[in-house]
Amino acid sequence: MRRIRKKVSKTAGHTPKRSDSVSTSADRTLPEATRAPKAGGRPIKAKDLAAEKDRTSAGAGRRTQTAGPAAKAAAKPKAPPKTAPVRRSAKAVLKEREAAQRFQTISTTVPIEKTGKVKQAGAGPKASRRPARPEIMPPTTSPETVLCEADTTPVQPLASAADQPPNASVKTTPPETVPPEAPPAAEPVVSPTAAPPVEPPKAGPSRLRRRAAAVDEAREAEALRRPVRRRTRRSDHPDDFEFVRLNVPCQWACPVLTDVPDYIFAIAGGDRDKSYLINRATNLIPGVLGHVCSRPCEAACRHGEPDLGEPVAICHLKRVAADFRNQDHQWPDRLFPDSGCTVGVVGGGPAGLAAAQLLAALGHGVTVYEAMPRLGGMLMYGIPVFRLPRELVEAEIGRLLDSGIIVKTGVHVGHDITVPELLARHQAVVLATGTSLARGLAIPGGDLPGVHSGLDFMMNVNDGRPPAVGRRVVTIGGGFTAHDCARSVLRLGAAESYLCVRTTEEDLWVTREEILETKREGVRYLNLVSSMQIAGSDRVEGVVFARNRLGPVGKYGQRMPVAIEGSEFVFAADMVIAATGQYADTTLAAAAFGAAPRFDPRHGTCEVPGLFAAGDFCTGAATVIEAMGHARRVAQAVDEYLTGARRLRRVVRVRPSADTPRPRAWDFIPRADMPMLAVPQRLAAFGAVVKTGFPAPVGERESHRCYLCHMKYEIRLADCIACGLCAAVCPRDCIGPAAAAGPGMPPVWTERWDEAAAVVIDSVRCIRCGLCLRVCPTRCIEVERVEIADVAAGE
Amino acid sequence: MPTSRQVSEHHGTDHDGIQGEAKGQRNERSDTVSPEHFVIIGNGAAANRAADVLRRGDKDARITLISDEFFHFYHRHRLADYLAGTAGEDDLLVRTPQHYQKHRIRLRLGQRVTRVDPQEKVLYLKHMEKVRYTRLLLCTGGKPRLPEIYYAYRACFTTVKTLADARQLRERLDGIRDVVVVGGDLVSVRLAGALVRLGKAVTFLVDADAFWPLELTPERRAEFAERLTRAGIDVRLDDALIHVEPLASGGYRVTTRAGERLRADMVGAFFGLVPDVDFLLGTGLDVDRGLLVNEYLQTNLPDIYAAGDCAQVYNPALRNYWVSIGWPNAEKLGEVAARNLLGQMQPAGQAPASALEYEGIVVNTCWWRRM
Repeated sequence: MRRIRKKVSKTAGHTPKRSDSVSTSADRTLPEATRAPKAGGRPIKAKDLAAEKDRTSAGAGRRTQTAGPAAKAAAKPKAPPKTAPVRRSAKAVLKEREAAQRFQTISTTVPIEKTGKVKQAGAGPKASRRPARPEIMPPTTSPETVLCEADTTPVQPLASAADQPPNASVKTTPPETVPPEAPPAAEPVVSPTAAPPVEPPKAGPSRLRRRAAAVDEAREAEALRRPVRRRTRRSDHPDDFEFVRLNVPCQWACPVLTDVPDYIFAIAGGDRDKSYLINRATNLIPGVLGHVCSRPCEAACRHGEPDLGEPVAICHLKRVAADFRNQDHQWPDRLFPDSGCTVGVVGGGPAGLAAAQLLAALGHGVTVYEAMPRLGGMLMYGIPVFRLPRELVEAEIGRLLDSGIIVKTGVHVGHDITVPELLARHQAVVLATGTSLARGLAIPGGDLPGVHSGLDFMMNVNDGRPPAVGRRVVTIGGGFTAHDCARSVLRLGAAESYLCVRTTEEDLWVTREEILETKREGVRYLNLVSSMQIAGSDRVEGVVFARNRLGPVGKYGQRMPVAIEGSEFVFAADMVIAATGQYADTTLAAAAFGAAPRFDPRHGTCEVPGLFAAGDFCTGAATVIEAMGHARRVAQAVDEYLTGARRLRRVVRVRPSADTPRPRAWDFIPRADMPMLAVPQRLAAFGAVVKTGFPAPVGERESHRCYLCHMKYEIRLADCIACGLCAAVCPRDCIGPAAAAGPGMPPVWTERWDEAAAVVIDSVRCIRCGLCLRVCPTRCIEVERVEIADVAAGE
Repeated sequence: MPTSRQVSEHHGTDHDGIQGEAKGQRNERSDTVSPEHFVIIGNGAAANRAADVLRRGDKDARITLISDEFFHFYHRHRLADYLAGTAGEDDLLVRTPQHYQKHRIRLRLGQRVTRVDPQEKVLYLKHMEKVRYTRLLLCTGGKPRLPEIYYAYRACFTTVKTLADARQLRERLDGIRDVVVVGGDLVSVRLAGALVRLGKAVTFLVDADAFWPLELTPERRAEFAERLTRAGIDVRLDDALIHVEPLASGGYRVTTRAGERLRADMVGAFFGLVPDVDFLLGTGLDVDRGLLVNEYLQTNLPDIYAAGDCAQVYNPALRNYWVSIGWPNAEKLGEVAARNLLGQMQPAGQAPASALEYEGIVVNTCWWRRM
């Protein structure tokens, strides 16, 4: 209960001094019974004790008016002491109270019944509302004024099972108010929900006091009616996850659930270090991913919806945070105590490192076994230098290892040491060797000199040993490796580079930016062609292609190419690179267990206890961020296997928030383009990184574009007076009157304000512009931030 | 304010295409009316030829043309004359509105199709109207192409493809004195000539790689340069644009490959057209560079055909897909598509001998001869 400004001092100051009293101010602090008896010989009554207690009590919040009649008698300035208590009729008391409250000028459309209570306000616009607050506090614009969650009270679910449909902010039951505890007096207490009547007050000092007291009581009542919401809550209810799926699609789309709006918010506030740390908590290597991530978040970004423009450049902003952070940050200490278990992770690529980091944080001793001389996997040996500089990879992985991971490079599991030996050495083993074998071209002539596999080609190039490239190079395939090969050969001296795709550009799963840059460098796409044969006698002279048409839908939703009969033609080339897919080398486990263990892709488990698989090795070829997401999931499964308990849990975290600092004009900022090196400069030096990165001011401007979709604007129905101003200013038509459709069902929009049960914000359409909150006269719209977070299971 | 509907769900209002029609047209629905509703998206050469052939072949069917331009069918190749002031808007018109009334072709102008649902056979227009069709013909044409190397400068370029673009440019003409033209397609040539006649100083950067859709062989190149110079255009042979930036005082600074820095009030980019089919992505139609159709101009979905610049036609004789450029080709394809819609299965025919290969596909164009 909020403390109200006390009136005690005033009444204390007005305590009547009896002329014949010998009590002094010093005596006043003593209990009455110990004082010298008053000269008048008047017996000390309980009522006087009560009055004294009331006068001097420091914060019961009682007013003399509602205290006992003795206190009332004591408050009367010049009333002569009476032997009998003042007894007034209930009617008189009530009349006086009503009069005292009447001074507040509030218009109400519902007459007040005799009891002084007003019908509990329902959810209709005709019902009376509590008085509008006279002052409208301007919204804070500084991001620092967010209320902190320092709350350690036990969690309560955000939405209980019975109510609250996910998209609506409707309360199906009115908020419960707790009436203040009844004072010990026998008089009826004014209900806290009473709306004060309208007549102006009459003069008189006692009336002034009573009026002031009534104001305080009304304010207290108002405070009590407002539900207590300003604290952090955590929830694991599926409806809340559904809310995040629909409203914060960027976080939902990220395989590791990076808190995208939060880190963009930090960049907008100028705190790039904080942004870097928010990233690093989930995606571990923000600088690297800021260069090469496939950014599923951007495809989901709400700013990219059809009428809203282009998605926010989320990945480039991650790079801004990494490039412009002010200092390097240590990895935090382990989250959990040492468990005494050790885990062996085979493979030092993104999946292996992600699994290793999480397992180390959970308290296990982790050893990473890597066959190559350096860690990084495809980051170090697959992706070309002009997309990802090596120093960055080394720096970030080196920092990652500080979390206590032991690394053994140059160890080839399956040759130098076998998987059963590892299982004997460690309590659990995670296989994360990726897809290290290339699927070759199974067509005639596929083994002619001049035909290379894409993976081997890139690894040799990245190792500093590029093979000789021809003049007219054909790369067959459409994935990331194929694009890397096609772009690399131009830097190695080829005159023409062609990328031959079996379907169309729409089906390619590389980013649109990648396709644009590939075309810009001069690579030409041949779409809808399938290779049938490599032509040539003692070396490659050309490729025989067939034209395709698009056939039925395949298992990933893409169209399958079907060769058209009789459409073969020859395409001249003197070098062919086949980048048609990669698959995992399962022999390292198969040799040990007879048959290759079958790994369940959900958690990487297999029939061998303690043996897990993570990343591309388990799921098949995917992107870096997907591999990391899978590896984190598998690491939690490993932890559960080792400790028997699920120590991390995924929750939806709701934090109180200030209004968005964004003005509406920021919604129209066009997307910034990534500055690129000019093509001649790119081709001149192999290691010239193509994307030079946003400058810091450009990054800050781009971060202003994010709607901050994790903010949830919700109308507090008890305070809403259905004035319609929010609906009038809303640019997205997402606020309006809604009628209840039935128990447990989402509300239905209605056009009639008089049949509306509530005013509702459709948060899926809302772009968090904040205009509604700024015009609301009753300040009934509140903001909270909703995100998914992994927390320790005990919290 | 959202109308009566579920929150977060979208149902367009279903008017079945009756409202919004051209003034004076009403379709009397009788019991004997043909159930066919041919909807043609587009209002260009292919679309109009197809509409005429359809009406001749089926007297009772409903035919609707939906175009996102606000103008009636006009001669696109006369836009340069319109700019030069020698032709007014009425001179551009190919047909009068009465033509459509007479043939009971419902013409809907200024309406954009945002989505096609092939299973339900419904089109969604931008103002949330649903239009049902029985057979659909896509003649959406092309939109200005911008090579990837110039993508960063897209804000500096001016393209003229539609009458709306030409109108906008005409208003700016007084303030334009120097023009730099990059690219090389038919529109660029005509437009450069028109601007010169208006007294502007035109510099044309002739770069073999930028010509579309044909390769500029040496003899063509010489002939081309000579024709332009005779028209009064300043021709820079084998020069290309490297960099463009807007100037604070207005206009642009153009840096060329040869090292020259030119100041221009307008940089015209004419790199040809690419099929305008983005709104069809995700509907299930096959899209490569254009809509993939077989030799009967059928797409992979039943009852949907494509004709004109937006179609990429497979030709067995060529063993390749080909796109057609230019008015006469569009009319031919529109006619073939209409005949196939009416049931006479007629192949689109071979590309003529003057077809060219460009970026792996064959391009059939007649513009060079008409230059």
